[in-house]
Amino acid sequence: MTETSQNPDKFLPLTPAVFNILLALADGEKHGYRIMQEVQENTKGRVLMGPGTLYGSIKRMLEAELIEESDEKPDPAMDNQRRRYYRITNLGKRIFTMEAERLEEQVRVLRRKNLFPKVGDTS
Amino acid sequence: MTNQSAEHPIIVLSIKAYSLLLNAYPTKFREEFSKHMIQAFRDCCLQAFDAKGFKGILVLWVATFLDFIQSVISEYLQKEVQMKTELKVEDIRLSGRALVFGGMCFMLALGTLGSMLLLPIIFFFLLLTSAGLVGVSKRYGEKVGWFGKNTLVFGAILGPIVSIIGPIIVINLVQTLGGNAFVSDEVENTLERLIVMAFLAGPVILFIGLTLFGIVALSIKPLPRWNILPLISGIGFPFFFFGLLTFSDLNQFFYLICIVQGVALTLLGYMLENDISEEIIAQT
Repeated sequence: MTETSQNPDKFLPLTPAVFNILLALADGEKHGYRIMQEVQENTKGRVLMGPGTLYGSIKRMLEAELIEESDEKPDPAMDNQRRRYYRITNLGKRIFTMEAERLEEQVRVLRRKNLFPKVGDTS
Repeated sequence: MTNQSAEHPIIVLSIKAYSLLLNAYPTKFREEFSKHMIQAFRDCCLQAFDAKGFKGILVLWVATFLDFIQSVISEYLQKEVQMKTELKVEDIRLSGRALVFGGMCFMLALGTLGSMLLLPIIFFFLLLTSAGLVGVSKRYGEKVGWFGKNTLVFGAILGPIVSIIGPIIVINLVQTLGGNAFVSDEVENTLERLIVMAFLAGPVILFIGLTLFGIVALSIKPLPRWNILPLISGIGFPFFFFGLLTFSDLNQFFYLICIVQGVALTLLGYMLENDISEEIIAQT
């Protein structure tokens, strides 16, 4: 199935795991452990992704052609072990952008209704 | 992350234990991703150990275990959705046969209480009964609904895992907390008892899953007959297990109830092996 033949709407809304993996890959290819670290950093620890959830999501995202495998190469910041890298596809970028726009619209609604918490408001 | 940390026994043992756990995933998934999952888990171990030592590893294991349970169930459910139209008669028959032998192993285990044969027999019981209960969930799961089906699968998968991981955790904890704790006989006996209890927690979890399935089955009646069998198969041993934690003497009721459980398990397996309806045969 080619990327252009897939209807993007069928993927929305994205699960938190898929959204955060696409977010992690949005600025470049990464291997599994880096994706896990970045998801944890981006969500301030609220989304904890173990290897089972990560690779289960990766499997489904590969099947849906949202991401693709890149090289197997060592991470210069870590050890010499070769690691499989993943990168986002054009379809993945489109889906991610659509989801980000959907979430942005929801935040706009919250602001309009004055329900969005102000900075420093802990109540 | 340091290379020295990578050789620490707790890290090496954790990676080995995690590699064993991966055998619970579907074959295709395992072949594709197990190497990378082990690599990612290793990296997590190194980070956790460098940050917080043994405590960090314990916390990591709790999170990893929960992740493992949820993702294994998810992968099998995904696989089941794919295989729904490919239901294989032979797989269900084999599950039934496994459950028959599982019931027999359970009764055989009663005769080996206190001997060295007990643990291997219980191990075989766990493997056979887990395989059998997965077949029960495949055959009758849709009729009992989400709760009944998933508690059965959960118990069938988690039971053997707890029996493998539990004793390892107990041994590691004792070695870490009290290096010379093996010196006195009393402490050694207590450790042995803890290890056995950790091992037997696996069958307890399996039976609890079966009991919950049995309670649902009593009202929905998914089996062609004897819908009380799952409940009888599951309910006895957990009570005695929790009793064994506080009382050290077994009594005659323990043996009687466990024999009844074993017979019920065997009958449940026999029914599964032979209850292949025409609609399933037509699908193959």
